[in-house]
Amino acid sequence: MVSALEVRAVGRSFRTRSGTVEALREVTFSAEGGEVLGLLGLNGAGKTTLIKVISTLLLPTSGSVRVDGVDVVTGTRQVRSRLSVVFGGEQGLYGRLSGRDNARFFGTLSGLDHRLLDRRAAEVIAMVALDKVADRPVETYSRGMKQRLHLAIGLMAAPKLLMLDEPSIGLDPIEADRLRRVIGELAAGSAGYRPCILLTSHYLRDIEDLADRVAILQGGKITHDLPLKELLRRAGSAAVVTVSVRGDEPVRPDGDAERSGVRLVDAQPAGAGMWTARYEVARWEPATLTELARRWPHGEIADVRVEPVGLEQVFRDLSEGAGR
Amino acid sequence: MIVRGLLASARVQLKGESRMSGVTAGIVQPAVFMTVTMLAAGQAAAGARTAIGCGLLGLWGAIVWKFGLVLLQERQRGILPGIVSRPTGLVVVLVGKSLGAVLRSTALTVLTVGVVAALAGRPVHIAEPVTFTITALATLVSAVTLGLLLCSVFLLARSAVRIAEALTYPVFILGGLLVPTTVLPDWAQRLSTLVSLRWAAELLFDAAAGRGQQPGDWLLLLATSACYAVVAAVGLRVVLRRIRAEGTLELV
Repeated sequence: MVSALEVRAVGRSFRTRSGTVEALREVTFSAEGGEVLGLLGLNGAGKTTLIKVISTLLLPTSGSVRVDGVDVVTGTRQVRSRLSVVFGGEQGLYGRLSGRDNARFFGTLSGLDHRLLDRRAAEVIAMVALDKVADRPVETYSRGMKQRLHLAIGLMAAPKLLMLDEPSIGLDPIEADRLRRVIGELAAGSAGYRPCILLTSHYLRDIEDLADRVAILQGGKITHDLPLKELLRRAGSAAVVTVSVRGDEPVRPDGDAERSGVRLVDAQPAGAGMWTARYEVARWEPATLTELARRWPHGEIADVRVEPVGLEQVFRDLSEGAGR
Repeated sequence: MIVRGLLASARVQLKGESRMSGVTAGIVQPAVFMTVTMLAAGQAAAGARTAIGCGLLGLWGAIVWKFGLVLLQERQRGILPGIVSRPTGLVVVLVGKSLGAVLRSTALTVLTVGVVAALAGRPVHIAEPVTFTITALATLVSAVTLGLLLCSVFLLARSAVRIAEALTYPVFILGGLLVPTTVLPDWAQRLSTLVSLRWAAELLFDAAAGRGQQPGDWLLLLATSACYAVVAAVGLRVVLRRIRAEGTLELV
């Protein structure tokens, strides 16, 4: 079966005055139709360069990229009719034109039959809940509305590969949630089919909520490529538990942290006979509370706060690990 | 796909353009040139000849500015990635949008020179309207091929506006649009044979005056335009490839 996206040993270097910069090195991964692949990386990791190479804006220096089986170098035009790229931000639209006119124009450029244009524009605009403002000039839209219009335009030609580069950048939490909901519905097949979605974002919640799989790009190389659940499991703990205790210093068990699945991170006196301690726990279950109580034989637990370990923590750990 | 892309791009340009955008090139400039020429030459300034000269000045100004500015505007709006990553391609969109802007500006120019000539009491008389119209269309196509040639330069250079400024007047002079080419030095006259607008102007003058057009002028108009088209096609292909290879166009 042909993969929706196949990236094989892709390298991309740039010549600068101070020498050659390797933005991508031997990048290899693939993604299938119906899959949401999150691409994570710090600034300068090579995410945007990779998106540009896949979307035919840049040529790879080495390696190959195939979209739905077609090579981006030798079959550029066919690749362009199979993918859409949605860049984040307010730019990239004609402000004086209505949302509908923008969708129709970019649909025409995507090769959509003129008899289908109006119907398809109405469909995708409704999909992103912009139907009530579709005939208003885009310059009157909020940032979030513009971003949803970008997404609608990206869907005009029903692409097999949809690339979303920082789709929620600069959006307020409500708009970001709304956009995530739309992308989630799209991934579930709201457009009548399930495209392969390649998602890059600085907001790890986007990835955590939407991605099936996560690839981490560091220094131009893919360092991890795992299902999201597996990546979270590799963090080694399910949650960080903060406990407030009235009483003496905690017992610090030596060597049994691994066995009990509860590891003390730190403990600080909080004044008025109180202590605050943080634990990493491998599993959050009733036995964990018993174990925590065992750690404070002379204290009374006054409060427990449980924060599940998320992708942000995992990503920070991995990035710091790579930086060391 | 190409024709639909051209039409859609022209329509978007006309819808999205400010109502004042064609005023300078399409109204002010030809009106000023017409008035100055008629004041300077008095009764010696033939209505049709002056109008055609001013019309061609307006057309060339529109070609240079619109082809340069459309690219600049698309870059500033951050629209280039959305265009380049679609199968229709950047060249079709640039040509369609520039053509839309040029047609609007040209229509305003024709209207302006007609009105100014009529107000000055020297209405424009075209002796052979059919031949004149065919020649005018050929002139427009030729000007667009020259615009395409400039497109590849504008794509490579960030300073499209400066280039447009630098190109405007040399073509006015070499095309015989400001002064007859016969008054130019020999080297400049030789150079002017490469400018298609010079031959277009001769053909338009002849059609307006009812003189028979010179086949040699048609041959040179077609030959120069064909050369522009071939060089533009090769140039754009090379430039777009280079942009993808070197990442030199600020797309995102």
